[in-house]
Amino acid sequence: MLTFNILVAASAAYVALLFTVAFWAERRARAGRLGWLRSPLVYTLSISVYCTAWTFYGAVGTAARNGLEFVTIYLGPTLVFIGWWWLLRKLLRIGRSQRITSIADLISSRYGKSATLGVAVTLLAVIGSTPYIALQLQSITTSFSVFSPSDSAGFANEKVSAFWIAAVLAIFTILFGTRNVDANERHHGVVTAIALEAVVKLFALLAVGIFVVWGIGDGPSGIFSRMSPDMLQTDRIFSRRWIALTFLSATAIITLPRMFQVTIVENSDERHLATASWAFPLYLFLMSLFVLPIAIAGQSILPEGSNPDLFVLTVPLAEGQNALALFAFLGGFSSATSMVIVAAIALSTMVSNHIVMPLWLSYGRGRISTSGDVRNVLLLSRRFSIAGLLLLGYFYFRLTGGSNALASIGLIAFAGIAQVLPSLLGGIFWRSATRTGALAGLIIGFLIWAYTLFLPSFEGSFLLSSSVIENGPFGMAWLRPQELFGLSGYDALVHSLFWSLGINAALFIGLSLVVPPRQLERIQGSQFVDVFRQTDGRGAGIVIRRSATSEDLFTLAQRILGTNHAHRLFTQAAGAQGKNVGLPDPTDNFIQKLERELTGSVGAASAHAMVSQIAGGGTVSVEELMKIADETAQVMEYSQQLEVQSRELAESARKLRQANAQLTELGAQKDAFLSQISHELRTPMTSIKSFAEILRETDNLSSEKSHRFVDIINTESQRLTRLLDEILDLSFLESGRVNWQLEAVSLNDVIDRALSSSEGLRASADVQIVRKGDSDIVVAADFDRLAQVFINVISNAIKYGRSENPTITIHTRKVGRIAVVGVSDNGPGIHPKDREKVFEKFSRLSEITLAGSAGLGLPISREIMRNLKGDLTVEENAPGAVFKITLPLA
Amino acid sequence: MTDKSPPDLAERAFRRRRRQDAALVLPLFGVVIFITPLFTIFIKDVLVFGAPLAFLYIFGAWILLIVLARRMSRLLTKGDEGG
Repeated sequence: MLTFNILVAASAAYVALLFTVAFWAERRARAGRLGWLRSPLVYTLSISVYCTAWTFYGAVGTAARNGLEFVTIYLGPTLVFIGWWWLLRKLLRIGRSQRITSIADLISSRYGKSATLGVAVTLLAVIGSTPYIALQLQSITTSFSVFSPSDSAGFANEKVSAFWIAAVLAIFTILFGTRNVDANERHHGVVTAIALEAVVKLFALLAVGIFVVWGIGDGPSGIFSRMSPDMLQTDRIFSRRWIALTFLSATAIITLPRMFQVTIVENSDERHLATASWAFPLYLFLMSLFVLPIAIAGQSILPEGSNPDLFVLTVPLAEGQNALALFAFLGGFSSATSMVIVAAIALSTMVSNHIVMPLWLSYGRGRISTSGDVRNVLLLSRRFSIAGLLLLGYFYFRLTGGSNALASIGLIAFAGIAQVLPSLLGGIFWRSATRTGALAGLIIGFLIWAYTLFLPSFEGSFLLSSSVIENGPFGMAWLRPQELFGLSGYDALVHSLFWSLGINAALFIGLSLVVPPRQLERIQGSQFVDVFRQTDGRGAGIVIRRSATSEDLFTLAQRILGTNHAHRLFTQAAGAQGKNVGLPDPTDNFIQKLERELTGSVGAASAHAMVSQIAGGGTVSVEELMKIADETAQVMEYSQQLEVQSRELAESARKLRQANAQLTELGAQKDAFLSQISHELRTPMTSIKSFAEILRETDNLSSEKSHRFVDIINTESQRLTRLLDEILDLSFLESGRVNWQLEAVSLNDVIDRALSSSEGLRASADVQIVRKGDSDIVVAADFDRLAQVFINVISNAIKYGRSENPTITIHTRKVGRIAVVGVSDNGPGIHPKDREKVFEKFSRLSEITLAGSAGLGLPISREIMRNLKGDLTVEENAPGAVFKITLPLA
Repeated sequence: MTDKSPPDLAERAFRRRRRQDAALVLPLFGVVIFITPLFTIFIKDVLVFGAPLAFLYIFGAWILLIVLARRMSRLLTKGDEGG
């Protein structure tokens, strides 16, 4: 038999284990050895704080009373989590970029850092959560009483035990939940303890379930064969209430303060959410798998009229499985404690940031930079809030304990906090949502919820008398709380949900469309809605008139963040501004950054108020400057970037096309050059080959003939060698790698050398040379190369300039800093369309061709001239051609 | 799909886009199987393997959703790193 002492000892041991685990995790975290403490598994398990004692015990009760309906409480969260890409991911990103500390902070921050909204959501959350905390205390005390059939000594005083439980939980929460001011810093101790509790409650329920199915029921078919035929109540499936419950539980997983705390605030890595997206639904699946079998077993083996909410405990007890019953008791205990701990942390953050801090600020206005330690105020207010909240829950339990009012509070609390949903969804998906709309929707929705669901749940014992619930206030039937405006025939929950959320959403949307938002709301709106499009630090928006001194800001930061953290922050900022010593300048950027940093500790509204108080001397001139970050600016910048990018793209496409055309042309030129060159090489080769064959095959060749043939072969080989030399020369010149030593050269000497070299050719063609112009020109050139050019040009003139009385005129003169030499003949001239062709490789001018040249002379000459920083061009001087050589003077 | 060569940027972006669309469709699929009249087809007084059909439908569909969600989250996080 389990005695009271054993239960107390087990609970105490369990609580001691929690303390140890939390302490150990904090120490590990402090030493920087986080390891699996920061794993997706721990994150997922901590989310299971959703499963409270109400679900641990109550799900079986619901299954016994309402059949399959209990799964709706788990289906909603399942749908939200498998749809994480839609909603949770965005919330997480916003939570991180805006350093959101709670659901109240999220709403307040989104709607222009409104302090009023923060207070409204906080009050709503406290009113909704206090009964829920009371419910957990009740479930623990009730589970105690299960183990005592009669009122024996220790069990009698359950109210006292509830008080001590509340006190121990308060101590735990204060110890591990308020270690640091920054709510964004993870509570590793708490989270690890919660994860442990998640494992305990899951295994406890699974153990009971397995015992029921295989220990009592002889397998699944055995247990289902005991089911009474109407137990599933299949007519409830896909009823209005079914849909409403699924919707409500889906809403709760987002809006409940404790869920927001573990899912968004305590998250350390976005990828953990990806894992939780399937792992948390799996956890819920396992939690609910054995609920129905346990309910069936309870109904079949326990006497009529037993409380189905306690089947999880009473079934093992009835079968004499004391150890299992103790395990199940600890499972329920862990469900209750984890909920209370996380809810207390979440709510205390909200109370201290949105109620205590604004009060403290307005009381101490103007003194913020001179007195008081904000850190201590924050921590103290959080600790007192935790104690206060648990005390509130305890008194609530004392007042209403044991009544039905408390048992049904679970869904009622869900419906209350669900009033945040329109402002939340609108806030992150709809840019035009405004503070006025959110505030009106929230308050009116909350009042309707209180009137139609919360107050009637007391059945006349609190505020609303039973006659008002029955007949409406002052006998006005159309105002009856549960048949508002004559809407009758609905489940009370569905009825209340319809009116409260319907009017809430209508007011929210309607007023948002009518009342224009303030600047700060617009900025925050685009920050929230476009959170995935933003890069860090852009358009952050809060530009404050700069009357702040860095010293004041430092004092403020120091008192909220602590000296070390503030020092680090300011040193970094100064470094980023390029200052090695001293405080950073109070630029807009820095002030924004500081404000965001403070937001992590005191919430958006308080941080904004504090910084404005210092930075703006109490007046914040936001209106004009804020346009910088306005949505239009953002859109414009975005489209401008696009425009620039597409212009750049078009430009590079054009360049690519051009390059492609050039390459194609070059390819064609190269092909032509190759076919030309092989032709040129082939001609001498052919004659060499044929004469060599004659010499070899003809036996009695006269010595004179063979001598002549050998001569031809010799000439042809020389021509071949010359050709190859020329090609090499040309490719070397064209590569642009030449590096000649330029020296002062007398132009006359060069021409003399060229004339003497071409004397033989000149004599055979009987050409007259006429020289005119200055004879004392000195140019900067390489003597031999320049001579090569003149030889080429003069031989060319001799070869092509044929006429009756061939004359070549060489005219030298100075034009400015340039020497110009014209070499003209009196031959037939060059046809204008052939003029550029003479410089192409192997282009023999169509009609007149002389043997002996490979046609590379002029192209080589032009390349030489260009490498000498001069040029070689051809001009018309009828009759005959003029080659003009230009090059710089020495 | 035998082609293992890395797809080009446009193709990768398209695939990522499609994965994201699938991630959006999954919860809608869940809504369809849990809170639409589709459910009523399976609410029959029939025992399959000794368990009521409605019970099997709910828990079967549930585990199917979990498996799909797991696949989806793998695909999505892989897409984040690779692309």
